Amino acid sequence: MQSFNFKYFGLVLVLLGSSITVAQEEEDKVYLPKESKYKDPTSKVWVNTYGKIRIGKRFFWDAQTHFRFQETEATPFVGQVAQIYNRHALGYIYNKKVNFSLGGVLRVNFNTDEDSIDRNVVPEWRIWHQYQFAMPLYSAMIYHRIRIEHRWTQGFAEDSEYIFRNRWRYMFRAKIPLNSHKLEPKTLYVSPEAELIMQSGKAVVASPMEDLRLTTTVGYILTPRLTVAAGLMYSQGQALENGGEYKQAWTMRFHMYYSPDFRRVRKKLPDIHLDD
Amino acid sequence: MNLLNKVLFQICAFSLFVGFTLPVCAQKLQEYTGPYTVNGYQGNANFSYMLKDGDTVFQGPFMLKRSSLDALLEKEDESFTIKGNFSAGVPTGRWTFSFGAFNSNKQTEVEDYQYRVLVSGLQEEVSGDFLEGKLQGNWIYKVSKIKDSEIEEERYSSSIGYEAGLPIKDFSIANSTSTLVGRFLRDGIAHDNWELFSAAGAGTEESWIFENGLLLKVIQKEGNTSNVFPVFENNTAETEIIDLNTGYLNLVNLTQKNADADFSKGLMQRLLAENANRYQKINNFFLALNYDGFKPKFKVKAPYFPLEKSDIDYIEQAIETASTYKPTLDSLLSNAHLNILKRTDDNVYFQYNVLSYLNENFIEPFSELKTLNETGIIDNLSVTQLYASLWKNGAPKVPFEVKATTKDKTVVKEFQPESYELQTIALNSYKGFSQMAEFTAISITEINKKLQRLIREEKGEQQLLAIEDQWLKQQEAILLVKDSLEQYGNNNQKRALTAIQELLETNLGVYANLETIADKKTFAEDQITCTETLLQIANQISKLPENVKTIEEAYLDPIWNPFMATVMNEEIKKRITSAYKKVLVPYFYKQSQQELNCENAAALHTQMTFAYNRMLQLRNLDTHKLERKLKREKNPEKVLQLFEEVNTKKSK
Repeated sequence: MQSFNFKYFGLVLVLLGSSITVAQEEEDKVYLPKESKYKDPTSKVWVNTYGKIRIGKRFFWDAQTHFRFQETEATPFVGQVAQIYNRHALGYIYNKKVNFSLGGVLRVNFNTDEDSIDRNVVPEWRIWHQYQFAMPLYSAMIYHRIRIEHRWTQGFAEDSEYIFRNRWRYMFRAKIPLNSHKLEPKTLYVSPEAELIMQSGKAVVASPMEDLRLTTTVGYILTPRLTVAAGLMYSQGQALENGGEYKQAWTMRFHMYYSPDFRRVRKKLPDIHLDD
Repeated sequence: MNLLNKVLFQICAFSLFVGFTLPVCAQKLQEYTGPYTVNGYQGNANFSYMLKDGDTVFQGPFMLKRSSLDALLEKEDESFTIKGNFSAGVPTGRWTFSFGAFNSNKQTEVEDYQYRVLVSGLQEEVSGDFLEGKLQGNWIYKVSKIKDSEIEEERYSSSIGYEAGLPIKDFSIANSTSTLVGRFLRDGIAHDNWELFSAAGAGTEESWIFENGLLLKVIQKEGNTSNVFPVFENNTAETEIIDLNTGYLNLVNLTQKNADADFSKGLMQRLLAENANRYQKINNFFLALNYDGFKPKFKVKAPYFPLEKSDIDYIEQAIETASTYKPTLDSLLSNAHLNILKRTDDNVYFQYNVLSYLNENFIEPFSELKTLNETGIIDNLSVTQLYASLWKNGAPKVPFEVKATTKDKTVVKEFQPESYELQTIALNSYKGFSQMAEFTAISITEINKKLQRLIREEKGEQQLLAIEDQWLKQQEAILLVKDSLEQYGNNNQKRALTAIQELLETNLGVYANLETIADKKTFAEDQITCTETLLQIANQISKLPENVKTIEEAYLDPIWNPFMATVMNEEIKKRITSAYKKVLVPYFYKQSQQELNCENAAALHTQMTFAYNRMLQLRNLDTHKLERKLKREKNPEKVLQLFEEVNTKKSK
């Protein structure tokens, strides 16, 4: 029962009082500050590729590779590689506006702390599933994305153990064409997005809000199968060690979206190739 | 039935009872109820009348109406209600007209035990009084736009006060954008400033300044500038009172031929014309009921140049000449054989040019004179003004010169009919019309005689003429394509059509130089085949950009983009479309512009047809091999051959 509470009502616990927390984590002696503390923002650069490769009438293979850089003392601004991120899934196209994905993530975390004597590289594993809904609005499109991740992470310390957490993510995104009446090739579009990432798990005591990401992206549709985009993201979230402390970050993001279809042309005819 | 009739009826009945008849009782009052049509208004009528010498004389109340609920609910109903009174055949008392063109949203509601249907459309309402057959008091004319049974917008409204049939005091006429306000003197004559206000509140847009019926000047506002058009300001001639009708508006326009600004843009005259038209609608109704008195009778004064009997004869002579000789002239100008001969035969060329000149400078102005005469404003223009309005660049000279040789278009020759005794035309006089008419009649008769002889001589071969006719029609069709491309085409298309036209001219030249009819016949027959092909090519050239577009659209493939969740068009088989657009289309243009002749025209026509149709087929064929072979292929003949090689059976 207790663990159930921790899992789902971490936030409530913080509000009810810290006595239970203190009892549980007595040896760590973590005290919530009287007022929330915001750490100085760090800067990051993410270079992401997104592939959705059509492998059947209703199936696609979702293949994403991200390179995430983080500033350090020695290399400010762009920084050094912090994570390499491989996300794969099998996607199911329910209809033109709704699709689902299920798959796994292998994230390779690099230790960016130059003073650290711990391991330099550790893996992180996830199982994820996602539900995406699109809605046309005038010339723009609006997207709702619910993504749920089951995540096993470990610290850089030699003997650190995997901890299990669940992530609950909701993203709202719009894509608004700027030089055209709809999203079509040779269109420049602007895309505001907001994503809230909540987390739960035994290790999550007072910091259920892992990240709130606010992003504005400008993209260009080169062809029906290739789009590039770049944007700036501000994010903030509670530190896992202490729910009273908030991390902040400014991230520059560069994206390439590609969606090849290797099926033979005449099999795809006609129309959108959903019903063929 | 009014009181008078009732009394009359009783007296008649009594007189019959006592055994004698009064003469007045022969005109027995009869009632009619049932279907009735007046001037196209077909409905149910209810009226009483007398028969007088076999004529129907309306007497008493009159009503004619129609409305159909079925028609309204079905689609649209044209309803009307006309109510009024007659007294001995002339309208009297209150008259109301209402015309509606309505449709409904087909929804009904019940209110106070009645079914209500909301209607939308246009409602026209006219009402006013007659006194002894003359308009009396205020007449209101309203056109409203109705939406769901409520007035949404007033489209037009006029309010004019009358006394004994003449408009008096102030009146106003408004449409949805402007309002005209003016006034009349007691005798119905326009006076003072007539002002046109903008409904948007921008102030006076146009003023017509009358002085005792004479329009001195018109001021039109255009943005911040005012254009002043003097009309009869400096008139020294005597004046007459005429109706303000379309003829008068035409007269005012004629005085502004040389004005700096465009007078005809003025809104006032449009509003006045609209008012006249609307009154005419009601007038037509009364005319059908044997009453001629419903006219606005706006009076104005206009300069008056009284015509002598002889002047009228001169004018009529000119008008008659135009009607008599126009058919002859037109048939000569459009004669296929002459049109061919004039290309090579200097004599025919000269005569033909004379005819064109006569048409443009005499016959057409005389027709214009006819129009002026019909609108009754000839005697409101001085003879000098009349000449200036008929001949913008001055009256034609007699004798005149026209181009004389086909080879050198700068050579001109004077024309003078043989049987015409040359006399100086008395310009700017009515007599001048008569002299010109005489000259025109003699000239056309003479040339017609000569040309008819020529046509008859050649007519030995009727068949040849028929072929020539057909040939010329084809050429005209090609020129029509050329004309439309001059306006809308691109440079490549224009160049191609110019080349085709040049080819036609060359062939016509060869034909005209042939001596015998047999030779001519053979050549013309070949030409008909060739020209038909050229016409087809001309049509294909004119359609080429459109065809390219059709093909571009055919080669779009809708793709679902998983990131956008939208469907986007993807250009497919780009190598094939690019071979068509970058190799074949330029080749077709080049062939038609540079290489075209009667020998290869058919081949080009076939290639163009094949290429387009094949492109539409290739879209759905397996073209992997073709696409590979088309790589860097720049030779159009080779491209066409490769197109042909694709196996059609492999489709699907």
